[in-house]
Amino acid sequence: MRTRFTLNGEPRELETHPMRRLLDVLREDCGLTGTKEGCGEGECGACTVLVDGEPVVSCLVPVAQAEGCELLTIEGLGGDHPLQRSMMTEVGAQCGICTPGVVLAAKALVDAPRKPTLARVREALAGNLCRCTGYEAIHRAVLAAHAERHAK
Amino acid sequence: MLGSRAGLETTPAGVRILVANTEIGQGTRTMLAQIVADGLGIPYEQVEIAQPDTSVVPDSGPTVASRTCMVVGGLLEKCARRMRERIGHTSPAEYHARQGRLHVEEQYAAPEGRRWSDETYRGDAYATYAWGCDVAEVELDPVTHETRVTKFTAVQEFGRPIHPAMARGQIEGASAQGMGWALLEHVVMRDGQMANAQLTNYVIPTTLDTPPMDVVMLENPYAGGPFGAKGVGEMPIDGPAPAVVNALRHAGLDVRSIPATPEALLSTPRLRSVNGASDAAQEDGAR
Repeated sequence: MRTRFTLNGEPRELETHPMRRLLDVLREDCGLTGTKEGCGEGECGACTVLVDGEPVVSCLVPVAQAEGCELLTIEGLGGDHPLQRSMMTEVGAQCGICTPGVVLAAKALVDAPRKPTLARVREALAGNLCRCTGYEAIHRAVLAAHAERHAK
Repeated sequence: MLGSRAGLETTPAGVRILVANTEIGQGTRTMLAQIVADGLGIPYEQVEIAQPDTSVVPDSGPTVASRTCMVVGGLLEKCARRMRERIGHTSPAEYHARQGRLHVEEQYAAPEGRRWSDETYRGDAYATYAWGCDVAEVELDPVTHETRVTKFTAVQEFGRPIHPAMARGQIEGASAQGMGWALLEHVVMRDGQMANAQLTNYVIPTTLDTPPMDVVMLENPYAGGPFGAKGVGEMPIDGPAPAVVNALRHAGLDVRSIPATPEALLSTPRLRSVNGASDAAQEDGAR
């Protein structure tokens, strides 16, 4: 089946089976290996990408469901989003497998003008498991990125 | 282990670290490069690290026992100081351009008075230890027996942190793992295999299960380690589960095993009424 979507701002069209996992299409067909597979069963959030701005676990999404959608993967942030920088300075990543998913899941909080509470940060990231950091550095990174993004 | 070696060589851009220790996210590469940069007095950016390929690097011993910083970092600090003496005031890159590659290597020697046998693996493996104290504040629902850690304080003394932000991350991460071990993580073995090796049936803490953490790093420089450092990698996972269990015991449950899941706590014998502090206070008053 021919599938069309917008990937990181660029129109893409590819021929593939409609039931293939979006995760595999992104990694194998599009060559974007920044999206990681953690559990492969929708529990860990490592494969989070944004579909029309909403975080989804790409291991549970058949590519047919992405038809006509705008997709954003970690590559689409270009390494220069305030959250990517603060994840480095606050050491929000250790082994790094959860990091692309964490950044995309928290992006909306960082971009929104309203300063998120710590409870809101925890809630927004509840679907993204991290085994290394204990989450504290990730929370610090999200709050620091919000402060930087909206600094007057 | 006692024969552990570490090397350092000049390159056109600065120096390259030659060690066998593996970066798995704990920050080894950053920390070792900092030690070498400071030991040589050169910018961090001029230090690279060889891949831990045994055709290229010496045997630095295993990446175990939180020894990498103290033992291998210590060898690298010696390498850096020796290289500094050899090259004088020129930079390693300038020396390399003029004189060619300079390679130095150090081998671990046990501190005096310590006994260890590489044949029998008996004795005192390490010359010093780090210390820690954990405090868990816990809320227990007396009906459902659901337990939450509401605040966690970890005080650790591991000499001196080389990279305080990364060291803090080691402590916070290990504390979260330890609390998961105490309350959630139940390994079910069946026929010699883990029967619940999926994240659907082996539950680890999420952002909503981990409490705010206070981390205190007590500095007490250790003369035998690089820039006063000991090791921090594993120690902070040891204390959290005992702290959580002691808190549950303080609340009146005779907890003897972990994970202390609600279903396990339901059948746990009582030390006294689980209604907590007021009963405990009465008991104390009666004595």
